[in-house]
Amino acid sequence: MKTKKLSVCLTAIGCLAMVAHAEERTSFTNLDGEVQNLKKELMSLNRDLFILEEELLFPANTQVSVFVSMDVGEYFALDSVELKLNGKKVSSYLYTEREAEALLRGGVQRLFVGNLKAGDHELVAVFTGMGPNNREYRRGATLEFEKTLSPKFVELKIEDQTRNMQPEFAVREWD
Amino acid sequence: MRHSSLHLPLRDRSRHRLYSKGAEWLKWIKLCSLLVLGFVLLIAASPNVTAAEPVKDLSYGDALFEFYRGDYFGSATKLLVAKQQQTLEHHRDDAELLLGGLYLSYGQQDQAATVFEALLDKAEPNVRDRAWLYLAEIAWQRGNNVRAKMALDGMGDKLDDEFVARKQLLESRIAIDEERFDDAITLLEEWQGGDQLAAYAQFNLGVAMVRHGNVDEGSRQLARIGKGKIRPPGSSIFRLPERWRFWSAGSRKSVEKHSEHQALQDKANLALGFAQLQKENAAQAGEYLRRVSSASALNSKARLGAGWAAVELGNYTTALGHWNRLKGEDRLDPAVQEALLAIPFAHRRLGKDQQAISEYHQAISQFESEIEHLNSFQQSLDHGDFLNALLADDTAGKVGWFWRLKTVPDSPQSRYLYHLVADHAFQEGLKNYRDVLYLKENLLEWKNNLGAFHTIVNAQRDRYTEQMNRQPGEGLDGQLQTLTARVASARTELNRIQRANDVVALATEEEMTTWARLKAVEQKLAGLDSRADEARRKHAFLKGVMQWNLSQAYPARAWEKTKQIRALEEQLSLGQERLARLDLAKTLSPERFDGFDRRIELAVPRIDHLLTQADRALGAHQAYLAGLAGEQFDAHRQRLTAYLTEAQFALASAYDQSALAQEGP
Repeated sequence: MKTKKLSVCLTAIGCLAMVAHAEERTSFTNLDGEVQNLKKELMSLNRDLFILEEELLFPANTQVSVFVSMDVGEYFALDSVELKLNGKKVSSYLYTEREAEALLRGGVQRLFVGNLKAGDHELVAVFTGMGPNNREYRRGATLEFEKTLSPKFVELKIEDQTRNMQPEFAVREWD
Repeated sequence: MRHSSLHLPLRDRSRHRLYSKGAEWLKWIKLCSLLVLGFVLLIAASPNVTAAEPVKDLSYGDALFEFYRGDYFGSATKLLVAKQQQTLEHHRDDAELLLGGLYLSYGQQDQAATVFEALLDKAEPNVRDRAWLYLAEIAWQRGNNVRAKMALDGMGDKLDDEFVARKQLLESRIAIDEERFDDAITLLEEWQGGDQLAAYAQFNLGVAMVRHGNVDEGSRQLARIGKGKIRPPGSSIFRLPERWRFWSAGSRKSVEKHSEHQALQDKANLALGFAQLQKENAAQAGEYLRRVSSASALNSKARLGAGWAAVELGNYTTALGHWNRLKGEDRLDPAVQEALLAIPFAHRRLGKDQQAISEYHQAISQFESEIEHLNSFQQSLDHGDFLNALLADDTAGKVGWFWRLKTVPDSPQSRYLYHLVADHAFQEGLKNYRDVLYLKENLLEWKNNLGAFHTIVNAQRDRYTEQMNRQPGEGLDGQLQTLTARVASARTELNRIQRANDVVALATEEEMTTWARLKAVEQKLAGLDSRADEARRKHAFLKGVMQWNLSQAYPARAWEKTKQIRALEEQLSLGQERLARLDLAKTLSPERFDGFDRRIELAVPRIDHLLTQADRALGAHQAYLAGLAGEQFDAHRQRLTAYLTEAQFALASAYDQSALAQEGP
């Protein structure tokens, strides 16, 4: 008798819990809908403000962007890249394992964006990393380029050199 | 008689809670199936780009970098910017696909579906197939199997192996949902996919078989996972998944993935253990339960079950060994609570009544103390503070659908928080709360930046006004015109020289002087008689040599002259362009500054509006999450109270039994 009463009780609790669960789900659906709309509006605002910020801070006629990409075997682990523009250090970036992997998977990192007046300039880049058998690598590249009144995009690609089977910088200027 | 009647209900009720009618272990199986969903969607959100396929648009590569490093919000923003600025010449469809995946990962399923649907009409077949697959995933995730099947039907026939595997896996999940277990089993038995999904496919096959009634074969499939023997069901070769091999070799990267598989393995073993307990096959049950990793969150349930399996075999000492190991564990864990009751039960079975009484006292004391703590914590539950404390150690700083709180702050309340974060509904709400917090931070940052933007625009305007007051470019137009005329004249002269092949015209100054002297001598010789023939011969010789030298040097000199004029023309052109830009800047700059001002002004109310919405959403989520927490605490309290009552009854019975024993027959 006691057991029967207990089971009736449990069934009642179970039913109540089911009703409560349904209400909770409806309530969460509404909340979730609000958050989705908020995210949508914020993404649009973010896009507009991002463009505004870039146009304001880095106008096209002075803008210079330096990108880093990788096309090497997965046994090369990138540690850092350092950039100097006209002898002045403008960026020194230490990579996390995840960021280095992001580069290996095809990501291209915008490492630096700044302003330069039209004319001739010099970019020096140095990367360090670890190869197979814990062999440390340190490689550099220099690029002399002319900044015109259009934005300048430079890609520093770390790639395998078949000649010596070691990673090197390949520099490419984009239009 | 009284002895057994008093204790069996306890044991039976425990069994009821743990594995009666197989409900518990099926629940575990269903929970495990959810893992498959999360994993597949994570893959679905990944773009199909590798280092072997070079990125042709920097802006797309930039968004990819953010994506791969886990900043989905940043990645989506960059893609939206690139779309707006039309810098996706080569990767338009890829970018759309990635954006759709990001919306998906960001919990914006409606937008994701819109993106994927838009791709269907125009994209290349492989992109279209991926879009159909994602649409199917979205529909299935929302429980719309009809739409999911329609989307899967939209996929073409020429799919690569990976897509076939994903498609079949989803088809099998739909079949399981619809209880078409035959179809699911057929699909999964033929399934041939990569290592990443093989464990899930095999797990689903085990689930489908068990639910179809083929418990033995289903259990065998799950048992293989339990032993870490993974193979694509359609393959005849067992193999350790790739990521496990990496892990075995010590790769740091794969530890997380290994944990994923280990969790699946643990859940399979736990489910199998309970199933065997239900079938009263205690020896086998114990074997499965002992395989559950000691680091697993399921370990307490496995220990408890292993204890009951030992009891079934009459081995109370072993059972006590398992249960005693749970004594110091989290007292909010139902398995630990049950162990506190099961320990004195085993002592009584071993005839150690005094020990049992002591253990019952301890259990009662612990239950009472726990109820007291729970009451105290619930009273102090401050909505905002409680959530902020929960997120205190959350340093990821990004939004995302795949985020889950994995650690809770180290505080006296942590035990309660652990139980909250294990709850799916709570995690979903917390994820939204966290997302909105991040969005609010982002909004406040922009709001702050807008002030700086105003300052920058004003500074640029002041600088512009100052420069304009200096009248830049004045007179430059006239100077440029003069220079243009001079360069044009030089170009005309060079053309004449080249047409006439006038080698002397490009002679050096010294050569010109020599050439002039030769000319003068020539004139003088013309007036002399034949006595000057020898001098004429010498003159002709020298003139010939000079002409030869000039002719030899001419091509290089003509080329050099051409280069000089071309360089001058380029400089001139640049100067003209700069002048034109300067003129344009004079006209447009005031307009540009005003444009910036307008854009900044327009952004202010947008930000304020969104901040209001964010605050409202935060408040609503706080209330919602606090409600969930309250419900969970109530449930904890109810269960603890039930255990307390049970312990008190059992204690009374033990005293009674002990008294009877002392009285003697």
